Amino acid sequence: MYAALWRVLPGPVWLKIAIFVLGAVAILAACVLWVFPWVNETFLLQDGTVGGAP
Amino acid sequence: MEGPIERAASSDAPRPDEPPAGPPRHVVRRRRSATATTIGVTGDLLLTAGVLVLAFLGWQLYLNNDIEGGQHQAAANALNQSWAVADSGKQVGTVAKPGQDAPSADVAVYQGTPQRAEVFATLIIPKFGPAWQRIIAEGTDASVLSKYGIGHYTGTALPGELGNFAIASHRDIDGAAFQNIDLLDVGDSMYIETQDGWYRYVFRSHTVVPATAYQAVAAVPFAPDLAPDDRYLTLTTCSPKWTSTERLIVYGVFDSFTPRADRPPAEIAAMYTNGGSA
Repeated sequence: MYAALWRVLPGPVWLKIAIFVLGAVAILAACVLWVFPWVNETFLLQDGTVGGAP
Repeated sequence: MEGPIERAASSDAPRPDEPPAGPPRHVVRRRRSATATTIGVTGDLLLTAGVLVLAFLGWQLYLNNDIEGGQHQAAANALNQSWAVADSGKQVGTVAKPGQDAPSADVAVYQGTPQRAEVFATLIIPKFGPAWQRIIAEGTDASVLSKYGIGHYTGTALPGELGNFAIASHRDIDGAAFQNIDLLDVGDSMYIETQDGWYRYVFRSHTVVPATAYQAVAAVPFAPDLAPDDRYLTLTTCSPKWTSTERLIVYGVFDSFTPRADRPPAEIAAMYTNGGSA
């Protein structure tokens, strides 16, 4: 997958690396801004209450 | 001297017209079998998933706690400043000096009924830092706890009432307000602030109970049949850290009430003298 992506990316090695890093940062930013909060709210893994919330 | 000359020579070479030296670059690579491709892609996907899960944990357990904790602290600051402003009209003639402890014998009872998700009080624990305070919202369902950090068990006592003012929060996520309540010692102060003033509770004990132990938030903790004759503060959170199998309970007993007109108790007065940004 990543090997194929590496071949598809244009330009010399430094440009490929730059595009790769930019893409990774963009994906992480999207995760932090939207995906992670949604996962946190939707699949709540913790509960600090006793006896079930009334 | 050799270096520059070489570089100049190579850069002068007419690249577009360069004849292909040796075989084309791609000839050496053989096509991989479908199985090898599938395994390779699967491995890449698994590695990616692992990195994303680690990133999520870093966000959930560290980054987001700093963000949400800061938001909840800022909200608490704004709230008690608004109370101070709302009260300033009534303070004419007060003689108490700033920081002077003047606990009144009369304990104000919270008036009204907080609606679900209404922020009506703040929790101040000096041991967690000179500026540590968090908002308390009504209700302990998941959405209240994840949005406001600390929730008040509906039906338990309100500030000033006889009985048990019971609150819950997460240990590790969504601000993790109760992350370090296991570090409290006998005698440590816990303040509940409302529009009426400051209720000081003193830490008495920890206990770890099953998640089903609703008796922990009874009016008299673990004595659900008794009528309350004192004021208690109960904090519940996850235990052990990072898990949700049991509950860590912190008890405090009521010590004193300081009306808003008397200014904040000395122990936490610094929090209010510089705009709450200590």
